[in-house]
Amino acid sequence: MTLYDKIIAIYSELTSQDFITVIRLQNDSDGRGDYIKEWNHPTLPKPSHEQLEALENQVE
Amino acid sequence: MPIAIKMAGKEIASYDTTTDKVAIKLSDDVSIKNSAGNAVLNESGGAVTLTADKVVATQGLGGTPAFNAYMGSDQTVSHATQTKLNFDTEEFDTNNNFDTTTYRFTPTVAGYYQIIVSASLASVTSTHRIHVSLFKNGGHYKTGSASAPAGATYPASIVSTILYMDGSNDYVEGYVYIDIGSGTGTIPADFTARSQFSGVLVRAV
Repeated sequence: MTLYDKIIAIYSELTSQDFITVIRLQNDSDGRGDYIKEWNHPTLPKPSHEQLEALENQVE
Repeated sequence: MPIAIKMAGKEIASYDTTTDKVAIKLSDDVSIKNSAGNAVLNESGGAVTLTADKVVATQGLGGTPAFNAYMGSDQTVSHATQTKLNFDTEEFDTNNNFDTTTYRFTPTVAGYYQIIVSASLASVTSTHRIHVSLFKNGGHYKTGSASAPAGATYPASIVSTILYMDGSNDYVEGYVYIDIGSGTGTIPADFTARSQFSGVLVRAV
């Protein structure tokens, strides 16, 4: 499950456009994987590490 | 485009960037000396005398950085995630300025560089987009984009630009962003047609 898929699982109302304009996910190919580079959504708070981790555990 | 080479405010030569030719101006009494201090080329009154017994033409652009890198293997990238392209294999790197572990070009000569990044996406089942971006010093600089319908084969995006680099700290990297709905996509390794990163110094300053 990618970081994007986890975020959509938490906030299903987000659109593809949101990931271009107010949310930026990035991967610098340095072994750290995908991460949230910027989160500027006007109403939805940035998901916590615990929320994202919980989804990872659900998949496993 | 001719570039004047001046000494003490006087033009003594010019370099034409279009033809890649160097012209030495001998409008006054001029001599060109070798390392031993002996004149090998003299001009006087409009006559040019070559005194060297052997002439070796040297191009004054030695050490000009130029590189071309590509991906040695396929790369998996996540949907909607700006991902650095893994250009881990060099075709050439004339000045050893490209790092195949950080996929970063850090030229050691200041000037204006033409940089090109391209990448393609393996075919997917839905309408999709691919954006290739050039990052300078870790931040977005320029982007090229392409979209394709479902079933399209290897849609590609390319970004090409000329930018200034300071020859010490400035570096550039290639990133890709794919929009395929969700999940991951594949950037195939095929340097002859699809994904590559190249650059060359076009004007030193």
